[in-house]
Amino acid sequence: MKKYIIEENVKHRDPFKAPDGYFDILADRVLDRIHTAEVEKPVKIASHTSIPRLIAGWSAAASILLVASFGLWQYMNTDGSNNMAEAKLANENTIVVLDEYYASDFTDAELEYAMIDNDDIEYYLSEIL
Amino acid sequence: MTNEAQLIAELKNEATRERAFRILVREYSPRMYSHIARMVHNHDDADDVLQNALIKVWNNIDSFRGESALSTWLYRIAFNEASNFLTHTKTALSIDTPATGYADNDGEPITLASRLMADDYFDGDETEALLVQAVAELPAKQQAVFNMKYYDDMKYEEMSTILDTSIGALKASYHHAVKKITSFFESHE
Repeated sequence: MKKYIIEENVKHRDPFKAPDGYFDILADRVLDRIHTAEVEKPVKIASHTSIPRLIAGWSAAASILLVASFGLWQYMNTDGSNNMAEAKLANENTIVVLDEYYASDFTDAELEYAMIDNDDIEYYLSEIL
Repeated sequence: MTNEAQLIAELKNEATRERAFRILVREYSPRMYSHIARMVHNHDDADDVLQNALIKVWNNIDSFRGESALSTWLYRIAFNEASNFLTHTKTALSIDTPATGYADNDGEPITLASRLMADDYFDGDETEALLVQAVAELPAKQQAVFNMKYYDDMKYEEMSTILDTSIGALKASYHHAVKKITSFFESHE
């Protein structure tokens, strides 16, 4: 059987070659990429934590807390016989408060900030806590 | 050859960085290219990987502390960049493609050796193409050790720095690689 021997301590010819002139322009190509990347450094896009969104989030959370506290206060300050009537009144009050809230003259920006969902609120709270 | 310490100092100085970088590319990139090409096996990929490696050099030159030779540091960056490229390529090609990542029109796998023989930038004969294929079938570290020893006649001490592996383990890896390559050729006789 033919014996294959891998010679040691010998530098063998490398069969991979680059195209002619490749290394002459390589530095220019790399420096072009480096300078382009420096010029095009990404502009910081407003994130979820931008101040207007943060204010809108806190405002919404505070409104919800206020309405809930008002309902709870109403409930705690009534006797059992009037619970249903008081609860109905509290609910009506809440609806009135919300109607007034939605009827206010909001700017488009305020409306956009007001359109947040539970995920947004959780995110804001997790940022603060 | 440019004085290495002076070159490093100029690379770290913003006023002279670009001129020094051009010297670095001229002096060291052919060796980096060879090493990368032996790992990725074609010019286009070697070009991409080498450019990315050189950009890393530019961005990280301030972190080079001179604990090893500049060439060793550059070789290590080239090796890591090519390894990352191969890891991502293998992940992308892992579904419905042959191990070489190439197939003919009927979906049959094309051997690496036959693909190399058709490559304009492969300047070797059939035996050299088969050797590249045999090496490509080795585990990654054995490939690296074999290539560094066989093509660059690199000392185990330098390899140890580049691959972050003990000299004893590198010698063992090389020994295993040679045995597997010998057996590959015997089976292809």
